[in-house]
Amino acid sequence: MLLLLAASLPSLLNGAPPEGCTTAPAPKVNLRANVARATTSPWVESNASRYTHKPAAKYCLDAPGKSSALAAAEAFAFGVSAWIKSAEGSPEFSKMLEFLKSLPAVGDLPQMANIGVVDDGSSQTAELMNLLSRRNLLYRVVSTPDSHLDINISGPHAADPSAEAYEIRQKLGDSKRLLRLYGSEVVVGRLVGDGKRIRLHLMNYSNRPVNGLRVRVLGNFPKSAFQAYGLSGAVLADFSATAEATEFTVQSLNEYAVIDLTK
Amino acid sequence: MHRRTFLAAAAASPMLNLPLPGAPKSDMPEYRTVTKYPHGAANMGMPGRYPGQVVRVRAENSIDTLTEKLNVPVVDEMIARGMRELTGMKDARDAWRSFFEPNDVVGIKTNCSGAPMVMSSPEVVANVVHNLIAVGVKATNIWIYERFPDQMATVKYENYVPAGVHVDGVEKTRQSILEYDPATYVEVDFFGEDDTRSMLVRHVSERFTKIINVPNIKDHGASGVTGCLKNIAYGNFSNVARSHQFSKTNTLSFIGTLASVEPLRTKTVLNIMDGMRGVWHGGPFLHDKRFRFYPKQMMFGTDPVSMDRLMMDVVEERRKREGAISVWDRSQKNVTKGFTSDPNVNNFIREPGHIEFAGAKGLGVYDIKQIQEKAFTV
Repeated sequence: MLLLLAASLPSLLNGAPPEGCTTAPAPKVNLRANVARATTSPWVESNASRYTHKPAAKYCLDAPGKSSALAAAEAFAFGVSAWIKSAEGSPEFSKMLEFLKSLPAVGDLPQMANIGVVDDGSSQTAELMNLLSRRNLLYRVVSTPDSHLDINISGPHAADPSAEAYEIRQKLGDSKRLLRLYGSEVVVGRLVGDGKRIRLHLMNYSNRPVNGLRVRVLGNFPKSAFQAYGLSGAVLADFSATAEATEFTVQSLNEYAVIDLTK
Repeated sequence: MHRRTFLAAAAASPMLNLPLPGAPKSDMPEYRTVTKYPHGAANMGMPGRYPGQVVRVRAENSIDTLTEKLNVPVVDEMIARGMRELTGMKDARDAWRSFFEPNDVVGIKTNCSGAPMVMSSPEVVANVVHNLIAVGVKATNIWIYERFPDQMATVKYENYVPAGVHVDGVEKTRQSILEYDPATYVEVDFFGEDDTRSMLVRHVSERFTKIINVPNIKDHGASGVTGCLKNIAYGNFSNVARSHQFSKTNTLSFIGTLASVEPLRTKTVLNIMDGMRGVWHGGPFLHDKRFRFYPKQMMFGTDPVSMDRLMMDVVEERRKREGAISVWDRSQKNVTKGFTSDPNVNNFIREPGHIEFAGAKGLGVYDIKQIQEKAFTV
């Protein structure tokens, strides 16, 4: 059975998968003990760049069991439609849908980004976007350079997308980044907002909770509301809001959490 | 294209001119220290009341090397003598009282990375606890602590100290930042890592009024040796292993930088180096018993730089006796990744210069000619 997760308001729908849907992997940390790697960072299978790149596409995922919950949250966070196979009967999936439905609506807030990536359709650009997503270097896909953004990137790209992503980060400067996460390498964030209010989606790709995640959001947002999947009554710790940035600690993060910040 | 394919392509490319994540950027990274705490009184903390002074007490019968059992009366005598000689006071109780007041909350920073065979001995830590209680510090205001609970659990300090004394491993879950102070940290990007903050143990900023540092005498693959400075620095901050991910490390400057952060610097008022046992190769862990040795000595002081300067000679002399390369050997040909049982192979390019660097940061006296050592045997 296939389940459709509608983009803005999650719901269960029966039926066949949409024709021509784009296959996406189940989100997770992929433990590749037998593969040599360039870094010690965990290998995160995230669909963040796919969903950012083509938000209007329909996606099909095979995400059995617990991973269906994260798959649902990921699709919801990026506002895409996704058919999630194997989710039937998964209590985690049902629980996640209930959680997503319970979240307060914030309307159609625009995606926030530091970086514009000019999409040339190449696989190099796709992989660069994947690494930007993984490192929480927030970007938007643009057809031409957008002067409102801090940096615009266009091809041709370097042979090593990891090095290129780092160079982009250095050019931008960490202090200008709209979002910083400290304390975990397996969490990806998505930020939407209009300057007065912000919604931060946090997705944990590992199969266990992250105990302690420090978050820095650029700008002063003294009011907050926090909803964490599977953790009723959770609060943000060590909250501070200065003229420069808003910081807080998420004490425990299961698959997904949402933080709404307002001026 | 798959990420791995990209990595392979990158490796094959002869024209890479981008900065490579994975390569340490320089010997002096750009550090940004964030703390709201001012430097305390001039004679508080490091280098403290006795800059450039070290008391060394040796006792041949301090440990039975066959049974590994410490001779507690001798250890107690060593500590009493050391404290008297350091302060110039006739009564050891007065010596302790000169450092601590009844209303203090005292953290005892142990070193358990070589446990259960080489660590801050529970007998030494118990003596420290008893002396604190004797000068009026409440048992419930004494915290024996280390970053990693699993290392600490093997020592069982709780079996040696009175009820009420806290024994606490900070990172209840490995890499969790929950027990660290998010407002007190050093920010630095060593090699492109995304988590660039190392945060101070929350106990240090919010609970303790004073800290006693109880390190060991040990070799360290990355920093060359590890004594007072590394124990108080890397043992009190999160996310520090990133400084030695690659053969060229950033331990040279990171250790002294962290140790300088307030309020850690001001609150660390006393260093008692437990050199009953030591590690001369493969440290800070003890992978192989043959790298353990028995210096049978303790050092006392407020100046961690001077103490580490002397400690380095203890390790170096032992390595020389064992035919091992110097802790100052920086030859890349002797570096290989991962522990080997060959003492002439390093895991990293060692950085014993971190001690001098810390001296230049004002944490103490490095010049051996200016260090006043008082040595005794009991």
